[in-house]
Amino acid sequence: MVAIVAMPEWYKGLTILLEIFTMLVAFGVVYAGVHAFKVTRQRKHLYFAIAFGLLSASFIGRLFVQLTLALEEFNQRIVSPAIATAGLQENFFSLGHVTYIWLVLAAYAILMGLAFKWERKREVGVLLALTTVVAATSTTLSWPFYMASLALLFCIAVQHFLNFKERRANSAYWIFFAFTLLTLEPLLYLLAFFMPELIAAGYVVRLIAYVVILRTLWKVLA
Amino acid sequence: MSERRNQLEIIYDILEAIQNKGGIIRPTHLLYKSNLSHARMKEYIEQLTGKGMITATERNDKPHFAITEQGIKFLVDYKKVRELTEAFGL
Repeated sequence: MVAIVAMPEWYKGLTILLEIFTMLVAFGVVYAGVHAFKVTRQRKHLYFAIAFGLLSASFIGRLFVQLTLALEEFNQRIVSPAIATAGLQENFFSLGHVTYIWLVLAAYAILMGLAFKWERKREVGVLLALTTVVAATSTTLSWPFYMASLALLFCIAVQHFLNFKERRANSAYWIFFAFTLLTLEPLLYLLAFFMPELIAAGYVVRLIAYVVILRTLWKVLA
Repeated sequence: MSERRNQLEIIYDILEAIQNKGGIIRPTHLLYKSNLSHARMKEYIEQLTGKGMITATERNDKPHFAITEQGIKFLVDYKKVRELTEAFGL
């Protein structure tokens, strides 16, 4: 709720553009993952594609929520201020928000399993169960989601750092950098409870992270 | 999973060895370059021929193996997959 309510008015259109951009980049990664799976037939590439597929789906979900809210607001303010549908708006937001949270955390759980090279599905299963609990508690509170995202992304970023140290590849460095930025995003949202302006910083950080992922993907696939 | 990766790496090495020799190589050279036993290389050669990645041919009345378009495509694709795997630490 914080992300929508606390941001300035002019920012709403930009967040919709950001959702579209991050969704397209995530789709690009899904394409690369599916292509890799077709070549190698290794399940890790399939899970990688699924993780980014879940992220794409989460961005689509959030995009729809934001568009619907924007339209709803437009209707209330300009078309028919008398027809107030605040309850509907709230329910729609909650449903979209919880779906978004579950998809994002499930994606991070799979990415964490891949980063740690977990062979057994049980660990990822436990993480997915935990993400469901967090998503359920996030209907009224946002901080469990941000805390869970922060913890998962931090672990993933550390593994990417170790990957970079081991391989010394440029692309590994940039992916580590992107995941470090993505780790900062939930941290900024948590701090935004005390300083609401940091919401915008969180969005900017996510934008830079996805630009870095896009650039790295382009270099790898070109 | 690692068994499968090893197999892919061997296939990649065989195809790369052929391509580095200008797309055509003698079986003895390939045996040396791929660092495989004769029996294992025979298995891979059959596999690659079956998948249409290489063809058995002759040059100066001597047997050779030539890489096909499909083999070159696999090399290009696999290089990209390897870079993706490396970048995302998969």
